[in-house]
Amino acid sequence: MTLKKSPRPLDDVLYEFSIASAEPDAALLDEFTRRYPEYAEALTDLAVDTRLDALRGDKEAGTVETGMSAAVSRAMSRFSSELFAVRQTRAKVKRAQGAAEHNPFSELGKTQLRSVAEGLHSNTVFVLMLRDRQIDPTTMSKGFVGVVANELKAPVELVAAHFAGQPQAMSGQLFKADAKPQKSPQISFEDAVKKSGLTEEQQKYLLSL
Amino acid sequence: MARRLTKKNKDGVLYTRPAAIESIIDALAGKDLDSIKGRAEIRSPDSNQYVPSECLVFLIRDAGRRGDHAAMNALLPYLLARCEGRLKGKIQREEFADAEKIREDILGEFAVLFAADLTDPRCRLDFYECRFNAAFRAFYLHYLRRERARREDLVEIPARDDPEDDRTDEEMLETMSGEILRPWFQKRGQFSQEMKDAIVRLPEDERKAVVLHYYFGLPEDSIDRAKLSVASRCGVTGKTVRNRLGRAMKRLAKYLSLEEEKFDDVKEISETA
Repeated sequence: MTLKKSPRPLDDVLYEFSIASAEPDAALLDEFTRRYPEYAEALTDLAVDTRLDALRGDKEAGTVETGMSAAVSRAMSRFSSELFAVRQTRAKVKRAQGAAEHNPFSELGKTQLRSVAEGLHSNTVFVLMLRDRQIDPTTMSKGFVGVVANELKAPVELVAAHFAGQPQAMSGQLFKADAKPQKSPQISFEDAVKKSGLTEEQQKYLLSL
Repeated sequence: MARRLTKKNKDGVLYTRPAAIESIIDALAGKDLDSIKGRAEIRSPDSNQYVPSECLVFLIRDAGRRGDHAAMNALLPYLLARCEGRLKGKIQREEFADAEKIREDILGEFAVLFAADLTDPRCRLDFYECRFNAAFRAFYLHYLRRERARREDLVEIPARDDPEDDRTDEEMLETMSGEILRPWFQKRGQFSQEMKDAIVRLPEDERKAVVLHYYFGLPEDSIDRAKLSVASRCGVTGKTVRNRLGRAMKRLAKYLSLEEEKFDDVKEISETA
């Protein structure tokens, strides 16, 4: 028999234990340690600490200060810094999501795809791999990304953000298989060039970028 | 009506705020920030204008969700001031030489939760909207445990040095059975402050054994491995538990003898009466 791993994070379990009762008793500790055996030690420590904490009394101590104390003021500074960081991160994530969601290949029809393929000295198989993010972007040269951006007439940043997104299952095509096609792992740029049925001359050109 | 909480308990049921908290939140809806600030400043729960901390957490989070950072900045200090008052009563120089710094760190980490709440899907602040004091207690106790483990700077309690008491430790221990100690533990507030401090300052392993055995009433050991015992909870043998309890009793001996005297005095007075 294998123990089922708890999906609940430790923080949640400790909070839940703490608010379950004004003062934890043996029955509550027993219930929680049986349910979360992986956190039994932390739960026991919290139960003991809670009891000892109760010995110190529950009332607020110290004089009530008028205005903001130095400690509260410093805590507010930390809050403001964190809030600023959170807002910056959110803005960055939003921008990156927007870029990743916009696939610069998505509006290309068959003729345009062929045209881009010719411009890159490649074929449509290779361009479809670029469209579906089948190639590991860390193995692409900046020169290559620049040439692609030029062929697509799109900003380099947008094309780079597209390549950096999650690989997609090939879409918009009919498949003979019974199951829906799965996202395949990305391959290196060099392997993609070698496995796309390109001529030696085409391969040499793309690898030189 | 206040936005529903999203955190679920261990049985998959959504947490809800107590009805009294919901009704105060409803009553505060639509009030201007200045009047809420005026009420947030009141620290006495006995006042009919008092705003419970659970409500303050809701109001601060609600302001954050609306992007009203000015309201967050205006209300959070009142909540932090209450937390500071509580920490002052709990974290003192007797245990931590730099108690002020520790209190400040805890307040800072707690304040950061409100900023992180805007993006953190874990919604930990939901717990604070249900039972603020219990959730905050879990927060600072977790911090203190980490801090103690990092520093290992517990102050050793002094050895028994009462010259008028010439009993040996063994004789003293004979008079201090668990039957005497257990009622004291279970009736909170019966200890003298010195005794409470002495228990708090016991070494970690002894303190844990004392609280689990005398307060939680767990047996020292159990043949049934599925049954909760001090040994199973501490991951040691029953013999080790008994040794730890014995050592703890020796350390507490001085304080216990004072408690005994008080107990005898009270008994004598009630018998005379």
